[in-house]
Amino acid sequence: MEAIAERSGRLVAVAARRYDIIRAAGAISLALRATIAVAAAVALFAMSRAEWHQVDVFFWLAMIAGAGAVVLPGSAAPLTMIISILFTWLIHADGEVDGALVVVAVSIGVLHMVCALAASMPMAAAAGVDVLRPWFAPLAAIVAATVLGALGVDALIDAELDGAWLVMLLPIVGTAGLALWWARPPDDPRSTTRR
Amino acid sequence: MTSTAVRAGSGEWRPTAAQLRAATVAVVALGVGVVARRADLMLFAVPFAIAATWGALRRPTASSDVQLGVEAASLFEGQSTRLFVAVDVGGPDIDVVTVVLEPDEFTVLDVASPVLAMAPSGSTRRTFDLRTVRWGKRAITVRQVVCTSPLGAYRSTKGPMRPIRMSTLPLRETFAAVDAIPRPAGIVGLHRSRRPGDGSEFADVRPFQLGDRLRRVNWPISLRTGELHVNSTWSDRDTEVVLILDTEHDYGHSEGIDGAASSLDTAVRATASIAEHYLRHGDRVSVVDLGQRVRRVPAGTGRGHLRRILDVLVAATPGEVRGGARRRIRPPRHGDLVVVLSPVTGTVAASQVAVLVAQGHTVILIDTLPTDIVAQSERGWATLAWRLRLLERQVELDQLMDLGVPVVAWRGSGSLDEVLRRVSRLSSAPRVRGGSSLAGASGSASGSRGGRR
Repeated sequence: MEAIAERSGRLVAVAARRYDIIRAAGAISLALRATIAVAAAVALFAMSRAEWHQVDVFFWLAMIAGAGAVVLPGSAAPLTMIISILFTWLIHADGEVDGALVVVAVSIGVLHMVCALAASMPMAAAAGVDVLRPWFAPLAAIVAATVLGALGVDALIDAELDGAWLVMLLPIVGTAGLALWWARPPDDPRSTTRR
Repeated sequence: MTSTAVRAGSGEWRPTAAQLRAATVAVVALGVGVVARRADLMLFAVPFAIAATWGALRRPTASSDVQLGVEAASLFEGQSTRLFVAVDVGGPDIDVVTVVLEPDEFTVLDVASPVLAMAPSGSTRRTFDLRTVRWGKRAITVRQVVCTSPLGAYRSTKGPMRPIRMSTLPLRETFAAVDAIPRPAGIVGLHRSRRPGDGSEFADVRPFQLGDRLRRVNWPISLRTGELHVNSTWSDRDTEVVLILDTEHDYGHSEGIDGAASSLDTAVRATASIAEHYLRHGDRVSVVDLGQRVRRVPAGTGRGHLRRILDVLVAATPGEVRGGARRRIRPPRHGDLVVVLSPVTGTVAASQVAVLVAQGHTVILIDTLPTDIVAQSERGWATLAWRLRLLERQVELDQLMDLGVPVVAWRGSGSLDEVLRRVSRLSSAPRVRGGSSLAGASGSASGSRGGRR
């Protein structure tokens, strides 16, 4: 009985410490972590709604790693989650380019970006909204490139061209090239990025 | 203004976990997609390939300069000054600069977190209120400056930088005591005193200052000028007040100006207040530290001397008495008022007081031990040990009182009034052979410290 009381007391103490950490966290840090949680949840939910989906070890690993990414965005947890999703897709998916694929690809892209920003400052950092401003353009470019790439790949699959798997690289490389051209440093006169 | 600077982000840009993640996922997704002939897997590579290439293309070459400064490097307890953090980014390829400030335990920053994340474009400057809540040498520094490139791809870390040091002077409360000195020495000779103070010799007419007595107001000049003026006089007294500080131990918790005070806090603050009071009245004040942690301040007068005393008190730290119990302080002149500020728990204070009394000096002992010291101590045997030590201490205090040393607790303004009155009256009374006239003073004054514990 005493051991249970001691253990529960310790748990309460740990919870109180955690609560202190959350209270000390900055609003931007909390917002970024909330975005990571939402992105991870959307990716997992979209994947779980697919017809081919099965709950396997990779799915559970992705869930756990997603929770880890919320707490430690600068750790290996985001990478573990993304790789787990990739393997789930590789093993179970039927290879079609559909809405679920686009949603999952965009979600893990957003998750990666937000994890990168959240890892650039401690959780207790007092940050203004101006910190987010430089990240909007790359995020929009990545989302747009993913959607455009999916549309291009889908169009090529429908066209039933020979040697399609090589041809499919074209829209991917094309959209990536466009995004990178847009991301040229501002001192370059050809750049369209405004900081 | 005092400031310090550090240059961060000059070289040593390392890829972050985000950059490695982007490159890994892009390579794995593309490779597996091509090998397995799966277009859907190749599509997963798109955002990561873009992020990895974007980050690599924007690898920074510039550096950022971070400057930290305060407007005033010397403050009184509880006062505030402005702290600024200036970040100057040399190029466009730094997106986030994170500055981790490390304030002293007794330095309070008016900011939610000492970690600042900024997105500087060119020069950015942030200013905060900084308040020091305890006397002593305070320091604030930048522990780390982290610069992050676009998309969090590369990071450069620098720090810590050289700290900014500030002095927090231990003068907060206004102390006042009766104008009684046990054996005041008058000016001898035809020449008047060089020092302003209480006296009868006219010196000057000057504007009214806080603490001036109303009877000193020069009404005709005040009416004519529309501002209060007072007559200042040259001091008639030549008394030296010797303040003996015991820094051997520090008991109790120090929570700054707004919280509990340790024994050393009380001693240092009381020393500053008493010195300020007597210097304001034109007396000479010297400060001696029993532990020799604080440099001895020879007797002097005036506001400059007060500043000298405060600057020296800032360095007070507890520590073993150099020279031990055998060490003897230089005896004050006959007639000087000696005030000892001590918790009377160490090895030296009680014996030094006894020696001074034996030499014929008038000594007042201010007991600085916190009253709740037993409650603060740990449970179990430590409390018992403390009680035993306090009983021994009470015996030592009783022996000092038997020698005629009044023992009072520090309660701020007016703490010494009763003792000074009695000591002055008794010192001017005719002495009776075979007995000490001061014993009466100690008997009455000791009541203010309470009985045995």
